[in-house]
Amino acid sequence: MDPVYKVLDGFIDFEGQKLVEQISSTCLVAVGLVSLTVGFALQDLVYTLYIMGAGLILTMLVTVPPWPFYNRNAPRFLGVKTEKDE
Amino acid sequence: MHSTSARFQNVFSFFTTVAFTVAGLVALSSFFFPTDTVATGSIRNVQIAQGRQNQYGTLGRRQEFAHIKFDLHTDLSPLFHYNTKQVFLYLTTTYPGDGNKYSNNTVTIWDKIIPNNPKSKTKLALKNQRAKYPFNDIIGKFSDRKAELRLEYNVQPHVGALVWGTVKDADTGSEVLTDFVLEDSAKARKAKKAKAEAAKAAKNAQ
Repeated sequence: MDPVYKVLDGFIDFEGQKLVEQISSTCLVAVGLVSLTVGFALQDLVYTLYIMGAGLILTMLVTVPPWPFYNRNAPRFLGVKTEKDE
Repeated sequence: MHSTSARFQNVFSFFTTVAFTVAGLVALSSFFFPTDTVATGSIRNVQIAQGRQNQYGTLGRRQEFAHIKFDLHTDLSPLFHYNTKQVFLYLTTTYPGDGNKYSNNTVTIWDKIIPNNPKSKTKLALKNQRAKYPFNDIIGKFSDRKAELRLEYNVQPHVGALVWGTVKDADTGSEVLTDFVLEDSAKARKAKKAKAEAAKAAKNAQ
């Protein structure tokens, strides 16, 4: 069950989180612009809707699951501190 | 972004922002489509008849009702762009009040909903079309008042603001398509009777 929990938790390191933020923002804005242009050019609002829906699903496929390439820079924690005598 | 659910929520929430912005841009772009439409309309027949209105189950007083038949030719394709959901088209008759208590009257006598799909006709060629809504005046008599016919539309978009407008006449360019007279039915009947009797007398004299 441990691998299942790992995926459901979806932990990724900090560099991975930064990458996810960048990818999702650029992709969604690009999808918005593309859908608007296509809809305007073909004079049909249906294309705008479908491209935005497809774009959302694609972006989610890339950013939401914890892919291994988001986990390449593991955070370096300090060593365990030993008890100091007062 | 540390967990799957956090990433899902972030991505989806940014998506809703993008979606609303796109919708706003679509709504704004609708103002840049030119809306010059022209129409030619004429009145075939105006029949003023006495009648009673059956409203809420009670028979009202006897008053004059106007039954209008018209011709209409227009092309509304400039109004249909990618953000048009449907166009509500309506014909109005405006005529002055009785001069005393009531001011100008505007009555919608015919309307049509034209949706934005390949099947609907954006070019209209109506001949001898009966007006959907016969109307009466509040004082019960029309008394030969002059009326004007106008074709107006309301563009209802998928996203954005509603736009109203009047279709201009193809020949004159004014907003009024045609003028006609709402005649006094009693006077008209008397005149008709007198004419018939004069014609009969002329025939007898021959």
